[in-house]
Amino acid sequence: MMIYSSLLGLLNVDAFRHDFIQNIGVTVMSLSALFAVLALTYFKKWKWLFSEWLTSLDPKRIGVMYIVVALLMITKAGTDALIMRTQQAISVGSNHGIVSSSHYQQIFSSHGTTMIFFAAMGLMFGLINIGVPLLIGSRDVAFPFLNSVSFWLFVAGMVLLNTSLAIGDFSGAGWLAYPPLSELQFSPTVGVDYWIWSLQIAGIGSLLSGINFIVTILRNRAKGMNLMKMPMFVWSVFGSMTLVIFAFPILTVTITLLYLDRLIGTHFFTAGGGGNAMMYVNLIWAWGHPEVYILVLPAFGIFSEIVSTFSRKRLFGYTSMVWAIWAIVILSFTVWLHHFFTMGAGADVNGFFGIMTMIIAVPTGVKIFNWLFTMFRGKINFASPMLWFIGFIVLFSIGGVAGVLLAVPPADFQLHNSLFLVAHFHSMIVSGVLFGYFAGLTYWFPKVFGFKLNETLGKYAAYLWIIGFMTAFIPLYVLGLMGATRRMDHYDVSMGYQQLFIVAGIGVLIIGSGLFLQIVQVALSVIKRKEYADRTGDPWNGRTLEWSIKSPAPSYNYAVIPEVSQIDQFWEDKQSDSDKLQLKDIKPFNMPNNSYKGLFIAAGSFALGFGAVWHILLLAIVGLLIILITIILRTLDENTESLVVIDSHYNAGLGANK
Amino acid sequence: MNNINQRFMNYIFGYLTCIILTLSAYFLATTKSSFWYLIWVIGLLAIVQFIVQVCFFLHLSFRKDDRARLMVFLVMTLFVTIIIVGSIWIMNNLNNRMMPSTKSVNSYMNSQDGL
Amino acid sequence: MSNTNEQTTSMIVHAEKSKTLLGFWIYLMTDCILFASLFAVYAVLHKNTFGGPSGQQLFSLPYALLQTLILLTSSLTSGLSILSIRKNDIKKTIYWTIATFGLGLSFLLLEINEFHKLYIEGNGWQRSGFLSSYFSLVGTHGLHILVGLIWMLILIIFIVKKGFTKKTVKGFTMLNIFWHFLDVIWIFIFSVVYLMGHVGL
Repeated sequence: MMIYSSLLGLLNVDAFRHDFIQNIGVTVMSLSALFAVLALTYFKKWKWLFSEWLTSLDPKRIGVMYIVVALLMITKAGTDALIMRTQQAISVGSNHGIVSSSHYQQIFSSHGTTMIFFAAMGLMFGLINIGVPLLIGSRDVAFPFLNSVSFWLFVAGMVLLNTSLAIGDFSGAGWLAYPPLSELQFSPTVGVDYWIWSLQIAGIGSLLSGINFIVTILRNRAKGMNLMKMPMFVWSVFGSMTLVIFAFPILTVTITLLYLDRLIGTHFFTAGGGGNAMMYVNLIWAWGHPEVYILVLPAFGIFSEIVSTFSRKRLFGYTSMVWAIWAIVILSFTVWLHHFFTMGAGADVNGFFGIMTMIIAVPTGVKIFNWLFTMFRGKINFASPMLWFIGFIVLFSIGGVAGVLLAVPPADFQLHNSLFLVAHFHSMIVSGVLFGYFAGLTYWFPKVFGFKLNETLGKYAAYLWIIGFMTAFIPLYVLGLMGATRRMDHYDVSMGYQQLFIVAGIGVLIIGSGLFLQIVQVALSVIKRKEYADRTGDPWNGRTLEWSIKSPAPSYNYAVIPEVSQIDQFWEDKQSDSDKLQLKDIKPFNMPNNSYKGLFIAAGSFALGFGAVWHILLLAIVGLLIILITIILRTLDENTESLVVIDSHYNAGLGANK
Repeated sequence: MNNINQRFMNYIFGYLTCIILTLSAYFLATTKSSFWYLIWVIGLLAIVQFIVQVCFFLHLSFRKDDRARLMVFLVMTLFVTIIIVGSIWIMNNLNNRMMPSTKSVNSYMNSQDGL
Repeated sequence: MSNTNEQTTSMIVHAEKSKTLLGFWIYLMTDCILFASLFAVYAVLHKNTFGGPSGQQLFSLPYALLQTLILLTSSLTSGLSILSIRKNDIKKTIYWTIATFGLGLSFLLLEINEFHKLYIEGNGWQRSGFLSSYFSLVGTHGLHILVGLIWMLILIIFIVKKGFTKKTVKGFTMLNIFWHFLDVIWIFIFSVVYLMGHVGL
C-alpha cells in the first residue's frame, strides 16, 4: 500500500547511523565538498564557475564536466574495490575482515553501479561531447539545451547515489538488483530505491543524449562530409547512440516495475502473487547487454582515431569497420540470454544464444585486425595513447577469448558467477572502455585546454594500469577455475584462495598508483601549462578536422565551417599544403546562450528522486513541478541565442578569442 | 492547395480504413471460431491497421526527405520484434522448465489460510 | 501578425523537416520500445491470475470498442487541425484541437472509470501478476494521453496569444504526431489485451 506520508516519510535518525568505514566515506565526501566550496569562495570564483561552466551549453565544457564527475566516481568506486580486495585477502577462517557481510553487499553493489553508470558512461558522454561536434565540422550539437539537461540529470543521479552513503543505505542486491532479493520482502530498507531512482534519472539523461547525438550526426555535418567520409569515432558514436535509444527504455520500464512492486504491492517480479522473477532477469539483460556495447563502441572509435594518427597511416578497411559497427549494433540485441544460461532454459534456447554470442565476436575481431593492419608499415609514435592501445590489444583479446569460452553453455554452467566471469568482464571494460577513454583524454586534452599533458607521467600511468590490471585479474581467472564464487566476503582456509587474493590485492594497489599518477599528471601539467602549451593547434600531426583550429578551441569551434570532400580531409590538406581559410568566408553566426534551467531540472529531479526513495510525497510532487515548470518556461524563452561576429584580426588557422 | 487536398484524402481514407479494420476485428472476436485462427487474424488486422496509420496519419514514406525517419522506424520495428518474440520464447521455455505446475500452486494456495 | 496560406504551409513544411521533429520522432521510437517492454511483460504475465479473474472475465468488449472509436476519431481531428494550419485558419485549428481534446478526455475518463471499477471490486494491481501487467500497460498509455491533453491546453493558449508563428506551428506538428502515435499503440492494446483476451489468449 501507499505509505507516502508527512514531511519526512520514512526518514528518521537511524538513517544517519553508519559503521566506521561508511563514516570515513561520508567524512571524506563532505570535507571534499566543503573544501571545494571554501576554495571557490576564497578565490572569488563562484561567478566564473556559474557563467563559464555550470550554465554553459558549449559541449566541450559540458564534456569536461562529465569527465570531472566520472573521474571522481572512479576514485570512489576504486576505493570500493580497494576495500573489497582487502576484505577478500584477509577475511579467511576466523578473521572476518574489515567490513560486515551486509556492508560488503552494499560495497560491491555500489562499485558496479557507480563504475558502469557514472564512471564509464560519464567518460563516454564527456568524450562524445568534446569529440563529435569537432570531428564533424560543426559548432554545436543539434539540441544544445537538451545536452545541458542530460548532463545535469546525470549529476542529479550521481548525487542521489552518493547521498545513500550518508543518509540511509545502499542496495545490497548487486549492480542489477535481481528480485526476489531486491523486492521489499528481502530488501526492506531504502537501498534498492536509491539504486532505482539514481539510475532512472541518469537513464533519462542518457536517452536524451542518445537522441541528441543521432540528430547531430545526421544533420550537423559539415558540407561534403557524407556518412562514408565521417571519422570512425563518429560512426562508432552513431552506433552506440542507436543502441542507447533502443536499449534504455527497457531499463526504464524494468526498474519502474520493480519500484512499483516495492511501493504499491504489484506482482511483476515477486515470488508469489503471479509474479515472475525470471522476467526481470530477462528484461534487465535485454538492456544490459546492449549497454556494454554502448560503452565500448565509442572507445573502439577512439582507438581508430589514435591508431591511424599515431601510425601516420589511414585507417585500414574503413568500409569493413563501418559494417562491423552495425553488425555489432544489431547482434548485441540477439545475445542477452548468455547472462543467464544457468537460469534453466532448454538446450535449444541456450544453444541459440550461445551461437549468437560467438558470432558477435567476429565483427569485433575484424576491428582488431583492421587496427593491426593500420599499424603495419606505419611510422609508429609510441606516445601514451598508443600505450593504452597496446595494453588494450593484449588484455582485451585475453578477456575476449575468455568470453568465447563462457559463450559455450555447458562451460558457463561451471563458470557462471565465478571469479572467472568477473575477470572476463573486467578485462573487457577496463582494457576496452577505460583504456580507450584514457587514451581519448590524453589525445583531446590539448584541443580543449590548450596544453598537452605530461607525457612521461602518462606513460608510467599506462604501464602501472596494465601491469596492475594483470596482477589484479589474472589471479581471478585462476580462482574462478578453482571454483571461487563472486561476491564472497569470507571463505574457509581450506579453499586455498588466499594467496591469489593477496596477489590480486597487490594488483589493485598498483592500479591505484596508476590512477594517482594520472591525478599528479593533470596537476603538474596545469602548473606547467605555459611550457606544455600547444601553439599550433595540431600537437599530434592529426588527421581529422579538429586539428585545423587553434588550441584551446573557441566555444564556437569553427569560425568558418570546413568544406570536406574526402576522409581525413585535414590530413590531405596538409599534404597538399593548401590554404583554405579566407577572411571573407567568415560570416556572423548564432550560438546558444548560457542557461541555468538545466540546473533547475537537476534540482527538481533530485527532489523527486529523494522523495520517491524516502516516500516523502510532498517533496516528490515539488520536484516534479519544478521540472515541468522549468520545461514550460524554457519553451517560452525567446532569447536563447546570440550573434557571434569574428573580428578582422582573425588569422587563418588561429581563432579569435571570444 | 493540392497538397492539402491530398493530405485531407489521406486522412479520410486512413480513417475509414481503420474503422473497417477495427470493426472487422471486433466482430470477428465475438464469433466462436477456432482459437488460433482468431489470434492470427486479429493480429494480422492489427498489423495492417498499424501500417495504414503509419502511412496515412504519420505520413511515413519512401521519399528522400523521410529517409532518416523511415530508417529509425524500421530498426525500431526490428528490435521491438526481437524483444517481444525473444522474451516470449525465452520465458515460455523457462516457465515450462522452471515454474511450479498449476496443480502445485493451487494446492499451496489451498493449504494457506486467507488466500 | 497575419499570415498567408503559403506562409503557414511553409511553416508546416519547415517544421516537418526540422531537426526538432526528427529528434521528436526518434523519441517516439524510444517510446515504442518502452511499450514493447510493457507488452512483453503483459505477454509473460497475462496468464498469472493467481486464482483471480482473467481478462476474458473482466473486460467488456463493447466498452473497449467505444474507447477505440473515440481515440481513432480524435486522431483524425488532430490531423484536421494541422490541415487548418496549412489553410491559415486559426479558428478551425483551435476548434479541431478542442475536438481532439474533448474526445481524448472522454477516452481517458472511460479508462479511469474502468480502472476504478476494477479497483473497487478487488481487482486492482495488487491482485495478481496479470492485473499488475494490465494496469501498467494500459495505465502507461493513459498517462501518455494525459500528458497529450495537458500539452493540447498549453498549445491552445499559445496559439490564442501568439497566433501562427514558427514556434507554435512546430509545437502543433509535434503534438499531432504524438497523438497519432498514441492511437497506433492503442491498436495493439485493443487487439492484444481486449480482443485476444476475450478470445481466450
